[in-house]
Amino acid sequence: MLEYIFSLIIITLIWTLLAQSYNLSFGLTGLFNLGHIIFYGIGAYTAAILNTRYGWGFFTNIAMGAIVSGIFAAGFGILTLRLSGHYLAVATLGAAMISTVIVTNWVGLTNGPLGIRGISEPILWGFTIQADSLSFVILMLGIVGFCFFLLYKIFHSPFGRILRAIKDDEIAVQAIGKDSFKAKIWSLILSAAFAGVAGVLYSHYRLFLDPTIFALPEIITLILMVVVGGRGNFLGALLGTILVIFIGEMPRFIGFPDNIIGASRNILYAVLLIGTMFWKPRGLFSFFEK
Amino acid sequence: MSELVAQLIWNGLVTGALIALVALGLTLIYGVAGFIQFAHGEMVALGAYSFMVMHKLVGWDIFPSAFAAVCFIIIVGLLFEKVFFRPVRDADPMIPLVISIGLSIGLQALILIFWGPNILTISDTSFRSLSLFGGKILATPSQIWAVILSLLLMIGTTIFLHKTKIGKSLRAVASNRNVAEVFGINVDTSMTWIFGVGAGLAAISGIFLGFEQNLEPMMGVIIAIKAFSAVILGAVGSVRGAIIGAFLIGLSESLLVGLGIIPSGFTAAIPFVILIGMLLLKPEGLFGKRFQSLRQ
Repeated sequence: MLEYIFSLIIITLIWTLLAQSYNLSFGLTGLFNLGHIIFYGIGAYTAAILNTRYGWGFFTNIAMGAIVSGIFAAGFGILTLRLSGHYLAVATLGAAMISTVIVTNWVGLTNGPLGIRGISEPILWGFTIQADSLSFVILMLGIVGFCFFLLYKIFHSPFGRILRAIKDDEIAVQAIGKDSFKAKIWSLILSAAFAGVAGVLYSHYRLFLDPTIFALPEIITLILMVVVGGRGNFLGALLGTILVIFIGEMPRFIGFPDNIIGASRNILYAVLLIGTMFWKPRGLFSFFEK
Repeated sequence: MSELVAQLIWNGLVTGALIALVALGLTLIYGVAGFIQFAHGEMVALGAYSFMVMHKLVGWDIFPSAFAAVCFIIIVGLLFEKVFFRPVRDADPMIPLVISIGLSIGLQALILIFWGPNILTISDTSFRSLSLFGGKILATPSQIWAVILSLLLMIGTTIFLHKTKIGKSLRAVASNRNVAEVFGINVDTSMTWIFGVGAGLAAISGIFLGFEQNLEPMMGVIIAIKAFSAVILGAVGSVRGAIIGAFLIGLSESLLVGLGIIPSGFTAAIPFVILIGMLLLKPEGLFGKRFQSLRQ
């Protein structure tokens, strides 16, 4: 039981970081990027490959995950951010599909659909930190907390205000002499770097990685978390993620048969998403917004 | 070699025709209602499943069960419009898009609960393949029907949009909803029409798709994603653009994989590689300037 609670806390922490990173580009800047999961996947695969092939440890991998994801996002942004609205949404969704295909078929690098096994656990001062232990929870709390602190600073910096202004009126931002394209690219890079960190955490927690990490349901869960919590709302996205994970675990407790747990979870998600859009389109926690 | 190419072109035409029917509905809905209907793929899947129920479980003939399935999906489409999209019509276009994402995952889950994850087929009643053009091409009657019927439906839709009063009012709403309303066009009726037509086209595509492949809960999403690319490829809101985009995707999938230019594992990426390449070269869409038949 205790292990289950720990694993739930760890998964929640990883998802809150991922959702908050998405909140930076999608919520705050208003980039309707349906391919954010790519950055998470790249972080996770970077860690898995560096760890299993070259024996790199957890902490170096965190930095590498952020850097590789960020560099990838720069290229991705230069290619796609000339588009906006529905064009951007479909192009980035397409990019997510392409990356699934590449990861599944590039067997030499990713071991294809069989996935990568044997990723090692984090080692801190010579101690191996077991997954689902209290020390792992504390380690995660520390890392995710630090990332949250940085994200909070970004949200409330002058740069963050430019991003918020881009969402409201991009032409007005250009009119006062700010380079909105550059700001959008940076927003995507930062957002991708944090998503990459979340991916590294996932890799070193699950110790196994396969291409399903890029799958469409993951993208939808991510959108759900940010939209339910409130787009561009720092506290909202945090509470939204916790709510979504809590609701996602409900079918297990109610005792639905195993074969329909996934489906009933998706129905709950659908009700939550549609309900939020109808009654509180700015997010369930929009009252936190200034 | 030429026989192989001919066969691949035929297969590509069939796939293209099925994508085109879905893309046609999507582009009409985008043009008039102003958002990408994410749950449109589920209309395809529901069409295939309800046809399967009428044909195999209830035991009706092909044509009456196809008719019943299409009617049922049109009703579903109209209900969706009334219940989910009408209340948020004037909101940020993001909101109906997110609602349709919710509908999409909800419907997929419902299909999974009702019919289970088992893969079902319609085609045990399968007709024998016919040889066309002196044995060069093998085609099933359902494929021939699919190509002919979808071409007729595309021509019919274009005539409907340009020659009938309702079609003209739909184009007026697409062009400028407020001005259309001032001129006495009923926007509610236009929305009803566009969602009904879109759902009906998707259902027809779904029935034919059911003859081509197995029924599975994700079948709708897979074809809808190709249709999204086709719609964007041809310039959003343009009818001819979407159709040409759909055939382009169908043919290139079939030819590139069939001739071994691209390994079959990469099939799913082809529409998007074409799409992203095109968006970078010509962001207004292949036919952005010339074929804005719905918007103008």
